[in-house]
Amino acid sequence: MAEPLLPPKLLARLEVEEFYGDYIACLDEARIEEWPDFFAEEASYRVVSRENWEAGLPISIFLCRNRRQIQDRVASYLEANIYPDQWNRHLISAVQLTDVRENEIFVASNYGILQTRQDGETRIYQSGRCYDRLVRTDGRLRIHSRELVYDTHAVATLFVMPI
Amino acid sequence: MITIETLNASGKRPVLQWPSEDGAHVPYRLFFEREIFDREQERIFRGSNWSFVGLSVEVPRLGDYKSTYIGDTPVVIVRGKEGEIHGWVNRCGHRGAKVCRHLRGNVRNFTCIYHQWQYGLDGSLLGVPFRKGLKTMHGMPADFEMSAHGLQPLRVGSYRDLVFATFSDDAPPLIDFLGPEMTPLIDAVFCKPITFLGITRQRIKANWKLYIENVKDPYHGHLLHLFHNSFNVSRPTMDVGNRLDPRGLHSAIMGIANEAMHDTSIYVSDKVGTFKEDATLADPEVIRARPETSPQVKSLVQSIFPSLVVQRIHNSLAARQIVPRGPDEFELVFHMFGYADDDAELADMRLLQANLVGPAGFISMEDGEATEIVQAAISQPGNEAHSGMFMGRGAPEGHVSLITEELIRAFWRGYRAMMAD
Repeated sequence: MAEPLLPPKLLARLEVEEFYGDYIACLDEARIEEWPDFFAEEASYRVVSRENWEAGLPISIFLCRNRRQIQDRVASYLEANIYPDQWNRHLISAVQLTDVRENEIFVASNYGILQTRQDGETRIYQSGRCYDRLVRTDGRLRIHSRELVYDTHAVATLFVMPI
Repeated sequence: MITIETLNASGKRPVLQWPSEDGAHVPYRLFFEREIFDREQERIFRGSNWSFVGLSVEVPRLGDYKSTYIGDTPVVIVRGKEGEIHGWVNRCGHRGAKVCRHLRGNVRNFTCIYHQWQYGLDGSLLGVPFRKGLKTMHGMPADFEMSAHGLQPLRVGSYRDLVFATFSDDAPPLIDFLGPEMTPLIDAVFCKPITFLGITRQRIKANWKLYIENVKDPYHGHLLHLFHNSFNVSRPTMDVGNRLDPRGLHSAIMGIANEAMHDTSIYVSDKVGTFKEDATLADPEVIRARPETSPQVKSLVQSIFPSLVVQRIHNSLAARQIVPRGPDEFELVFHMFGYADDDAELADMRLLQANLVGPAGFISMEDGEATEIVQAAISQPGNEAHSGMFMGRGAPEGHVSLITEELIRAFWRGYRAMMAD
């Protein structure tokens, strides 16, 4: 087998960047029904305020303990919930690969969500830090756990579109 | 049209006109005029009412504190030496700076950063730098009284784990303010020691009273919050209970489990477009409730005027605090809790069921949108129009219904009395 051209950590970084690009395109283009595909079967997903996180308080605003619960959030978004029309734009920076193993990558990154509603103004909806544990299954990365810790602890109106 | 002289009788503006006696018509001016907001701060929030400021378990140990608001006034509550809770206005007795600049923490005393004036946990002034001068430089005058320059104290009262505070010496004892209609329902929720699970906050661009209307409005529940219908969480056919205090200001709406709630035929016959027979959750764990009361209270939304809503939604327990931030904005703060004796499964269920409420709540997120679209549509200066709420009007007193607006009308009657000259 030929030597890889890039060191494994750099290769992993490119893989993560590709994965985040696909993930963000899915959400920012509002293809929410495809969102659960980014998660492993036993995945967890959680959005928690930095206020609670730093105080060691366990309540989240959005918590899924498996992919079926993630699918139910999608069903509720599409079928039941009512919310202002909105476009989100994700910005990601300062991506840190904190641990790279054979089929597992731990990533921390900063994120910002710019949100535009029907009044045509764009606001900073949320800024925070994202902690991912990604796993490689069937040759592609999936999220095993994602924890989003938001600084913007006064949520503007409501939180409906996943990030 | 009945004119009730409520506002500014001596001022230049015409008095507010209430088109009906019973609170069925509410002038929209009440939701956006600064003058009304300012009067509410004086009459309601700094008046003889008790405002909810937190849960006692948020400040369990000596020196634990929490910053919050009564109306738009910043206040702090602190656990004192004898286990008592102190409250004071967060404004330095010197030049008015915010003394406590953090949301929560633990201290031995408080120091204003501006000139290092130091205060005890109870808000009394302990130290003023250079009070006696420095070398040849003069300090405070000889008649400067430390005791006259402390932080403005509040009366603090607790009922079970709910902590309230008031500016007023005239406010009745807290237990009388809550009243015998409300306390049994609070007792049932705060029936044993609780644990604090955290806070969620929502900033909503709407007048705070639109939210008060919302939590007194069972009519909207199954029509706005479609999650209920779509996934069979609750149906208007379940047993209901309403409670109202004699002033009309506090109220409670309860849903109690029964057999009929599984009957969906009323939606078919009434053509409610938001009901979907076949929708199911892939993982119903989030709506699995463990009965904690007998009969099982599926939901309790208890509004304690002016700033508290006690909530039981399945196993999700919360004290919601309403913080007005001007005529056209309020913050909704959910204080989530469980019980100290929760087993591991129930503790996990409460964390998962937090998905039902709060800013991302399956069955609550729409309230933010609903109140904002009202605010956006009514807030034109000079708008003399009013709402019209007639559901259940004329029903006999004590009539219990999930499709009534009587709790809202009662609220407006109480509000009007409080705001009148």
